[in-house]
Amino acid sequence: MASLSRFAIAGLGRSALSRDLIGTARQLAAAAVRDALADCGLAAQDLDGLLINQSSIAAAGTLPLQLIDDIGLEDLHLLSIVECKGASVLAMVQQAGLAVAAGMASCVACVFADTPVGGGQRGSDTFSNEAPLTGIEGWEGQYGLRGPVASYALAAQRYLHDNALAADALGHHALACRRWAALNPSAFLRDPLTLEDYRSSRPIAEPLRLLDCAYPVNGAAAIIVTTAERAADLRRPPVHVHGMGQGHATLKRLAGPAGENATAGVLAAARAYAMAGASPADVTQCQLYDAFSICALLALEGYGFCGEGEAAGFIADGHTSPGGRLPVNTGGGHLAEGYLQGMTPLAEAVVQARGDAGERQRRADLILVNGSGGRLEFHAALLLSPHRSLA
Amino acid sequence: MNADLPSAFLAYIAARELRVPRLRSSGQCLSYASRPPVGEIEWTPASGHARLVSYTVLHGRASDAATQPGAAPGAYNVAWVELAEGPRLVSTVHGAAPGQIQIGMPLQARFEDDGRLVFVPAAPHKETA
Repeated sequence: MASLSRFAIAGLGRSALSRDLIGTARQLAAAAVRDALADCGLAAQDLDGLLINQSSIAAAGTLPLQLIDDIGLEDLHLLSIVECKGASVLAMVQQAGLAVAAGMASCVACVFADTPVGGGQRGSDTFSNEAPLTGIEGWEGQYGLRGPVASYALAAQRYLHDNALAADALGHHALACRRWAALNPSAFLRDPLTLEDYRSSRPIAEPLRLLDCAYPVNGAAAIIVTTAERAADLRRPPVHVHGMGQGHATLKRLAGPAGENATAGVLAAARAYAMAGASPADVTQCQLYDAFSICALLALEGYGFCGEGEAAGFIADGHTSPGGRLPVNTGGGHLAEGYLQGMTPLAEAVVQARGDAGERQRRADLILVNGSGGRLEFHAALLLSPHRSLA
Repeated sequence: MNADLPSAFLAYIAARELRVPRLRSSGQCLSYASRPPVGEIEWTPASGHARLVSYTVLHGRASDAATQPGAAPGAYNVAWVELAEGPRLVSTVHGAAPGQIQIGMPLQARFEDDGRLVFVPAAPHKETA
């Protein structure tokens, strides 16, 4: 391993999080940025960059550029809306870091906000957009292939078949995430789960059950990126960025023949590890984007922690649970902590890197954070550490 | 047909024809997600032979779903099908009880009365190249 970071995450903030309507996404976004500023002891005038990501399913303009006025920002050197589905949050951090490292900006906030539930609106209604797979617009609607859950179910079904796994094999990840959520006072779903609970939970799109799906919440989160030197002078311990990668392959066939379950995540992994001069063996914990349980299994394989088809067994053996050798989603992840489309794993990584995780604190020397979205098409990864230098 | 790939595909479907797009120059069969220049596409009839790459059973509210015989109320299957010629498309398997749907099973394309393309279980057939 060899890396000296040039930029770091200096601030982390959240709005209130709730299943009820507690404000517009725009209001929550401003609250999260203010909270991040307070976290690192900065004021609005100290920011010279803002990157914004809204849910791709929310109406256009939900988080407009005018957010800068809501927060009271002026004279920015960096401003844009970033959109890359589930890879968006990490893409924002990467773009902020590139700008800071190049000297284009010095202190950049990245914010995500969403209000998918509450007021009679169900998560299943919000996340029911048609899932294009064939390449012919509108084709899938006639067959009722609605919602990301349906596309991921096709991938999950194929994965279980190719690896001769039982229908409940994915449930082990849901159970593991609950074990971590039990240690996280901020998590929404903290009750322990048994495999019997999993087997009896409502099927949504087989083999995916309700307990395989992320738990939508209303809220926002923001992080602040600055140079490694500046971060060292601020209130909180810096979280250094050592590796960055993205991987995208829209024409990759979902659920291909045996051996083609690999996603473009492997591209993101290769770049992130190479940049950090690191390998999977150096990673001490993972924060994985699990919109659905299958995403975490594919990420464990794609990022090199176990061989193809081995992730279910790896998780079932307890390696990713409290007490295991590779903690995964130590706050409960999207399934149990709450779904903030990539901010959930990133925020938990920051908390862990700072040593603020209390009862769920584990070795945080090198943390892999990933993001993935679309139909398993769009991927991003970060390697984070409290250490400025990796040797 | 000089329409773009999606429009041409749908026009054939409306005429109850399942066709696949090939490059005129090489005969190579393209996926339905491809977007080559329209003049390069030749639409040839598909054999209708296919195999099941994956499937899921969606459990929606009964009012939303096209309930199929033998399935749980409000449940229906969505299939990810690979034609013998190569292209993949979303459809549904008809005429198979839920327990009979198996990844890899041979299928045959069929148009329903309402013009919707579905696939039914087929006797094992030789794969074309």
